[in-house]
Order: sequence, then structure tokens, then C-alpha cells
Amino acid sequence: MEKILSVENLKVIFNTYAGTVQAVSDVSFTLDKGEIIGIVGESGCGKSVTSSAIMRLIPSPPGQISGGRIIFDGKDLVSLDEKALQSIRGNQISMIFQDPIVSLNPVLTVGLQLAESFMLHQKLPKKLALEKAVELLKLVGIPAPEERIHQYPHQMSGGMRQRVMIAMALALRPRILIADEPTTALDVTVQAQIMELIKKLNTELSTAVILITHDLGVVAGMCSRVLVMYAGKIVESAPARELYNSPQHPYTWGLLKSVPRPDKQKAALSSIPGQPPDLLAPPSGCAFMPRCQFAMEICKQPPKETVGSENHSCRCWLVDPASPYSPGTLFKEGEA
Amino acid sequence: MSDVLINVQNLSKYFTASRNFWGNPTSFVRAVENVSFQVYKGETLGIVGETGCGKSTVGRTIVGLYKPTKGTVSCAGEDIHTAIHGPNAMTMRRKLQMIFQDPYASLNPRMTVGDIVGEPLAIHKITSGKDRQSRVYGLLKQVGLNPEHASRFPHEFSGGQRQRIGIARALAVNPEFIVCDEPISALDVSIQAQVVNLLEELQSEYGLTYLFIAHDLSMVRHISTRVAVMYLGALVEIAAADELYKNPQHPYTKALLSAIPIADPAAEAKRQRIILTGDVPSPINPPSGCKFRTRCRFAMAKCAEMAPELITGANNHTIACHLVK
Ligand SMILES: Nc1ncnc2c1ncn2[C@@H]1O[C@H](COP(=O)(O)OP(=O)(O)OP(=O)(O)O)[C@@H](O)[C@H]1O
Ligand SMILES: Nc1ncnc2c1ncn2[C@@H]1O[C@H](COP(=O)(O)OP(=O)(O)OP(=O)(O)O)[C@@H](O)[C@H]1O
Ligand SMILES: [Mg+2]
Ligand SMILES: [Mg+2]
Repeated sequence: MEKILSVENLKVIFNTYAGTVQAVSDVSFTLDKGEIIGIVGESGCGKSVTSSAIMRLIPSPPGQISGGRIIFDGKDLVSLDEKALQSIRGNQISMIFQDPIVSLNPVLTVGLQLAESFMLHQKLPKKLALEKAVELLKLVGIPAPEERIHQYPHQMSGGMRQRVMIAMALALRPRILIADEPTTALDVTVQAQIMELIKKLNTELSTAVILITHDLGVVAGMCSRVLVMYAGKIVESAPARELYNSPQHPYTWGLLKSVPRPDKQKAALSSIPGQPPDLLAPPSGCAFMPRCQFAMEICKQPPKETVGSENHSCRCWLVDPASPYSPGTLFKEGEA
Repeated sequence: MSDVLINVQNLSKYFTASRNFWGNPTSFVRAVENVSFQVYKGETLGIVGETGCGKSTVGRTIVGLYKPTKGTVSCAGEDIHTAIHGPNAMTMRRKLQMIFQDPYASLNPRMTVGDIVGEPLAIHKITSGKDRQSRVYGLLKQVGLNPEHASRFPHEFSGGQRQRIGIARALAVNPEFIVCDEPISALDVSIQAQVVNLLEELQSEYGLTYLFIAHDLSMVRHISTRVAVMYLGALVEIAAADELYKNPQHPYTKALLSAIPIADPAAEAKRQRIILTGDVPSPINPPSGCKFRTRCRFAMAKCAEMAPELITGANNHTIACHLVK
């Protein structure tokens, strides 16, 4: 498959009065053309910071990309100037955010907001641009788009606004769509509508998608590959089926066991004890160690990334080639 | 099953949406309309449904925070709203407690954890002095916190720990019934299971009865004995948790359950989704007859004419739909 984005050893820090927050440390992954990948992890693990870094939207100060490269189209986005970035943002790579109401302009009609990008980037006259806006709203499944373009964002429901956001993000047929928790604020039936829409657009327009969420279920139905983040690092990544069938990192395993399965008989939930670490003073070794039931002496040193079959990679001493254990058998014992 | 603890009969709760020049109401939000159900002693009744369908309003009316517009709620045969306006108000209030969604907003930031948990003991004059202190320590231990935490303030705790403080506070007065209104929605995935397991332990230890409200349909199935489904203020279906999830009858329940994401790509690939079109109508101006008919694939003329009644069939499965006989 043709690679369109490659993030290499990305590091992002925030300089706050309390100290330096290491929001993202050493994150690497690639995205193929037309692919949907998922990034999962809990609050504060660095999902949004990673995506803002790709868009070069890290607020500075206090934030700063302190290392790594983001290669898109042979160019390193980290070193591009603002003018070059503007021709990429929205045009080539675009993003939809968790909360559509803050990202839409409340005093402009939905139609004008959509038409703006055509007028700006493609220099279309207003009338033509508005026609294109109607087409886009139809594409994202908004009924009666000719009337809807005259409405303001607050006159629409949450699901409808998220559709408008998706329409805006897709206006210029970007090659990459980053969706940062696009349905967290929405109900399940509306979430299913939006996910269906993203999948449809991915197939029809072959837009590559990075889907960010804390919901392991949403990712399972959408993505071909999944990255699991913990405390600013990718701790495990694998093709979706492989990751869910044979998780290798104790954190991934714990997460999968702490969500009940609606399609299975009731089983006791196992919870992960403790709290996620403070990124102001992250542990020098494995960040999951204090919560890990398999922690060993060596875990005080940072684990290296081990890549196994099927491109299944994991940062954990348990899967290190020198390790005497195999997570598969350990996890079975942990089950009892 | 055992005895009925909470009995909700034809409950409606309207809020004023707008008033005219004279201050008289001109339109209402019909937050809850003609809802009836029972909660049995020692069980967990889950309530699911989408934003604004009236779940919290039902919970708040049961514990006496709202007065019903129509209908009644009783606890062990005694009318709640008569009781909390009568001489034994405190006894009734003590029996019914509530845990809230937002552990940040529901705790007073200027009080220590010890004072927060001890406050209901003072209000209900249950214990005082040294006794109260040891009771507070005991409560903190029960919810997995340390006695040393008593002198700290809420902001020094994580979300999951704050939710534990809220649970300790609700337990302080030995309640019989607790409304858990989205107790885990604000928590991280890895912390949610901690709180759910704690609620289950406390239930089996003290024989508590729960009304468990949540968005997360998988978690509701996990914790509930029976589950009730609401749509736009109305109760559409209620049955034992396994029965409801395996054999949903109402078209809305079917769509809702088919939309739950499953954390397993193989299971996801196999399933058939029912994608609903359109949005939930406004509760100020709900559709006539069956409220779901505007989004229902099977809507018939009859559905606009009259609201279907709740009918109980085999397996104690109760449904309100004209399709189901
Ligand atoms: N402007 C900022 N100043 C200081 N720290 C920040 C800033 N933005 C983010 N961070 C920190 O960076 C870390 C990663 O944050 P990020 O928003 O990427 O988390 P996330 O994984 O998207 O979480 P969520 O699921 O809650 O959206 C957090 O510890 C956060 O506190
Ligand atoms: N105090 C109030 N005054 C006016 N309207 C209210 C009030 N409380 C709730 N409502 C309205 O009543 C309806 C039901 O609200 P409720 O909070 O019970 O829903 P819910 O099912 O708990 O939703 P959510 O999942 O978002 O918490 C909504 O339309 C809401 O706007
Ligand atoms: Mg985020
Ligand atoms: Mg609510």
C-alpha cells in the first residue's frame, strides 16, 4: 500500500508554571492511502495533542514540537512555514473536533461557512460556492439542504452539526481526515449514523482517516489498524483483529477486560487498579508499571518496541525477545 | 422475585418552557409522560435512552427532588411526595439517596472529605463527636479510600476517587434505595470498572436497591437485573436484562441495541446495524400517538392516532408498541 503520512519519533511538550508536561513522547506510525486507523487511549494520554501536531495547531507557547518528523507528500510538516501549512490544512489534511458547536461560527449561516472554503481556495463566485455547499450537505445526508444552508448552527441538533463539520472538513476533498472523538458528545444511534457516514466517505472518496476515540468498540467496527496510547506513548499497535484477539500489552488486555461485552453472557469485570500517571513527572521506566500486575524489576527501565508477526508491535518487557514469558499464557493465568 | 420497593404509577413531569406576559405558562417540556414501573427490593433497574429522554427527571422525581406533575411514586407502599412534606420527612429522605454524574460539581470544594461524608450524619442526627468520626472513617474504607483522606479537599482527588466520595456520602445514612445517575460517564474507561464493581459489592453487602441510569448500554446490561428503555419521555420497553438484550421487541430498542459498538472486530463484521434516520423530535411538541412513529420503519396510521399502552407478555417482557400484540 502507498504510504501518505508517516509520523516519526514525534515529541510534544508543554511548558507550564508547574513544569514541563511531556504530552507526547516518541510516537511513530504510518498511514496508508485510503486506510482507516484508530488511536485509542484514555483521557490525557496524548491523542488530541498528536493530531494537533499533525495539523501544526499546537498552541505555542506553552506547547512545542520538541522532536521528530511528520512526513506528508515528501515534506516534513514540522519544518514548514505557516504559509505552506495553510495550503495543506483543510485542503490536503483536515480535522473534525469533538465539539462541533465551538468549531462552527455561531453568527454565520451554515451555507456561508461551507461556501467560504470554495470561495477562498478555489476562487469560486458566491453563487456557485453555495451550490457546492448544498451538494456537500446532501453528501453527508442532511435532508432538505437547500433550506438548511440558510440556518445557523444553533438551529441544528448535535448530530446535524457534526454532519456539517464533516461536510466542511471534506469540502476540498482532503487526502487525510483526522476525526478527534467525533461522536463522544452524541447518542449511540446518532453515533452509528456518523460512523456509517465516515465509512461511506472513506470508500467513495478514498480519504484516509485517523479516528481518535476512547471507545474500543467504535474502533473495532471501523479500523483496519489500531494504536493504543498510554501516557504519551504508543504502547501497542496491530491490525484490529489481531489486537483484539491477542493483545500483548497488559494495559490493552486490562482495557479489553474492563468493558462488558453486550453480545456475551455476563462475566465479572476486571478493573485496572490505580490511576494514569502524571505527565509532569512520568516514571523513567514503563509508565504502566505501577498499575501492572505483571510488573518486574526490569520494568524500571524504559521498554523497547518489539515487532512481532503481522506487524504487531508492543512496548513491554514481557514481549522482549529476552523475556522468559509469553503474554498469551500469562493473560490466561490472570484470567482465573 | 421479591417485594416491590419503589412503585411509579402514571408519572408525568412537565417543565415550563415559556410564559406569557402575565407569567402564565404557555408551553411545556413534557420531560416524562405517563410512565409506570416497579423497582423490586434488592434489584438494579437500569434506565437507558438518548439525551433528553427523561431518565434523570424520573430519577430525581423518585428521590423527591422534583414534584410529579401527575401520577404517584411510593416507597414500600408509602407515597413519597406526601411523606416528604409531612412530619416524617427525614425518615423518607434518608431512605432515598442519589449519586450524580459529575463528581466534580456535586462535591462542595470548600469542605474536607470528612465533612462532606459526615454532613448527612449531622443533618439526620445519626451520630456525633467521636462516633461520627469513626463512622466516616469506616465509610471511607468501604469505598476504598483511606481514613487519612478525610482531611483533604475534593480537588486533591482524581475523578474515580471523587465518585467514591459521593458514594460514601450517599451510604452514610443507610439508605434503602440509591439513584445512580450516570455515575461512571465522566470517568476514564479503566476507572469505570472500579466504580461499577464497588457499587455491586455494596449492593450485595447491604441489600441495596439501585436505579442505574447510563448512556453506556453495555455497562447497563452488565449491572442491571432488569432494564427499562425510554424514548422522548415515554417508557417503551422493560424486561430482564438478558431477555431485553437478546430479544428486543420495540423497534426503537432494536435500533438502539444494534448501534452499541462491540469491542471485537469479528463480532462487528457479522452484525446487522439498524441505522435510524432523522433526529429525536422536541419534547415541547412531541408527535401525537406513539412518540417514536416519526422515526419508525413500521409506522401505521394507528400509531399517529393513539399512544400504545404498556402490555406485559411472556417472560415478564413489557412493551408499548401497536405492532406487538
Ligand atoms: N495547552 C496545554 N497546556 C498544558 N498541557 C497541555 C495542554 N494541552 C494538552 N496538555 C497536556 O497534554 C497531555 C495530553 O493531552 P491530550 O489533549 O492530547 O489528551 P487526549 O488523549 O486527547 O485526552 P482526552 O481523551 O481527554 O481528549 C495531557 O496531560 C494534557 O494535560
Ligand atoms: N429543570 C428543568 N427545567 C426545564 N426543562 C428541563 C429541566 N430538567 C430537564 N428538562 C428537560 O426535560 C427533558 C428531559 O431531561 P432529562 O435531564 O431528564 O433527560 P436525560 O434523559 O437525563 O438526558 P441526559 O442523557 O442528557 O442526561 C429534556 O428535554 C430537558 O431539557
Ligand atoms: Mg482529546
Ligand atoms: Mg440525565
